[in-house]
Amino acid sequence: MPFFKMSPLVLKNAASGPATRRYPEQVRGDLPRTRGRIELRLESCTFCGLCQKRCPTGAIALDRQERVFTLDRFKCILCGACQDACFAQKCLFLAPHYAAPTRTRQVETWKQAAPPPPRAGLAGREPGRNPGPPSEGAN
Amino acid sequence: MTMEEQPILPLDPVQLPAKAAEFAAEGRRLVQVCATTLPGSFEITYTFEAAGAPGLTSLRVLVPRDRSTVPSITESYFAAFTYENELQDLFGLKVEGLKLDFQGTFYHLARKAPFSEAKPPKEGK
Amino acid sequence: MGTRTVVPFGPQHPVLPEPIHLDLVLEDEKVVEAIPSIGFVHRGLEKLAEKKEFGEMVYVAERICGICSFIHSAAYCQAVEGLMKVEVPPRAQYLRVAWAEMSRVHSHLLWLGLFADSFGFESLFMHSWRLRERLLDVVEATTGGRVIFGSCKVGGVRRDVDAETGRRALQTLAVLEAECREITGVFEKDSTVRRRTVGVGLLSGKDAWSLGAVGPTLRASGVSSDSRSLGGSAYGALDWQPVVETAGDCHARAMVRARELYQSFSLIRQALEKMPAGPVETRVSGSPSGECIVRLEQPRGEVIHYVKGNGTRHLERYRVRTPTFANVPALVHMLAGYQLVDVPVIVLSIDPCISCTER
Repeated sequence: MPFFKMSPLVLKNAASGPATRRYPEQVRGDLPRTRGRIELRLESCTFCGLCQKRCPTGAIALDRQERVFTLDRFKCILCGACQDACFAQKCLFLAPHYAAPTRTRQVETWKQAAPPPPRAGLAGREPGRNPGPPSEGAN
Repeated sequence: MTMEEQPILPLDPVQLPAKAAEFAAEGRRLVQVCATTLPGSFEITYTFEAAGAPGLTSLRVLVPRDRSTVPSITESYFAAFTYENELQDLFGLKVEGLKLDFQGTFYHLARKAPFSEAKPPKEGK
Repeated sequence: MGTRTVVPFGPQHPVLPEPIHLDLVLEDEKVVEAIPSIGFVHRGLEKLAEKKEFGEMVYVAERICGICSFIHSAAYCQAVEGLMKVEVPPRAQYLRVAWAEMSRVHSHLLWLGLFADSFGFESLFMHSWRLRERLLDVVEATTGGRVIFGSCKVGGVRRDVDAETGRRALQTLAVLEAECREITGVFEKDSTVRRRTVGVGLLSGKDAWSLGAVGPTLRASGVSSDSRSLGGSAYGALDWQPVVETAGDCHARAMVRARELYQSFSLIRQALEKMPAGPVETRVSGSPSGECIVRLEQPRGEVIHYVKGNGTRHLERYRVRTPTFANVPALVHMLAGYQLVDVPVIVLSIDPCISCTER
């Protein structure tokens, strides 16, 4: 019977609720792996410059003398190369929520008041002192 | 990972239409045409696949920059008109005997033949 | 013989998601000839390979197309790995298969929706996209992105899928597979769909082959040609057969894609279940030299990535031949002889992806 193939689906959809959500009142919630936006734990950044070097779009600019970290969110493509590069301190990571919509170019600047306390070598990763990003994000 | 066989046969541009006709008679499918800009010439690769046999066979033609014309294979492979118009529009080559010639309007470009410029000198990143 | 009229079709047209222009030469309502013209969105991405290092080009390769993103990055990585003689760990190869098939499911669901839209079946269009959204959630849960997976790198993959995430993904996919049967049944049997698609846009197997058609366009004409059967990645170790239809019309092309949905579900399941434990990437050092052609099967057909290295960090030439580019001559051939009203259906039936085509 070639007719009424769609009708069961239409009736089912009419009976069940909508598939969409009434955003922004109702949000889906974050998935742990989502590459939402770049976050920076400024206090532990050593300004090594690896993230700037690895960023394929040049969204990150560092000023080591002034200890100023600049991130151009409009250039960032959320590839996560900086997160992979930031192996020593894990101060850059991708948070699972998206940046809010904006009408103007968003360039964020952070100024570090004092360099982080010196530590024993690059490999000195003490989980207690510098909590890394959620284990999912570190993949 | 195992790569499929991909022999590349160098060929004189003059022999190209005849060789393409031969491949068409054998029932090969045209897979791609690709040009590479080299310092003094253009290197054009015509890749074919034989029905039911693994591997890709390529014909390689070198066209010096000062001559920059290449014969068309649209006589045997009409489908090559897209690739050959691409050669004309992006690389500034002249394809002779092209059956469906867009005269440089296949791509709408801001600049003429943008791919014909040789690679810029290497700069530090 | 009637008067000939030339009707411009596109680049802006309600059924076209992307800009392609066709000059349709009509005799009354019948198409006599169609002349294509592209190039409205040429971005010169291939040229960018001269400025970006080969490792960074993966990000560019993935952004060639918004739908077949993952397979572009996988093909690029395979091509560079071929140049550098890198052996990818088995687990990474299985993950690449799983993600490639996820992108195929999402592309086919998107296409089925657009195809329904091309003959005005709006509710079927909406429903296809509703199902696609669920798959995108699975993609986001496993890779972190909805469309840009960002998971491939030269030497392997960038993230692993742990057992729990894999199990939950398979659960969602099992439900989704059952729901897909409801819509593919409509595509297969509904009389309104059949009236608009059966016998429209006929392409014989011989013509398809000689015009260089690829993918579902070729397989719907009875030619069993699928780049996955070359056994790249882990495809050689999995159980599957290329989907082939023989009718060669728009309905057959829709059925190839509908049946490939289930094939892809099966491949995802097999890949995630058979995936061996181990590392997911190998360290890559040095610079690529030599040349290599890689072909992979995208949802739209065979994609060619050609790379040529010269021993520096920058590739000498990077060339992408996308499936739509190869299908344009076949499309032009198919259009001749049909009514103007069938043109949108026939154009959609090759699944045109123009931004991808022009790179």
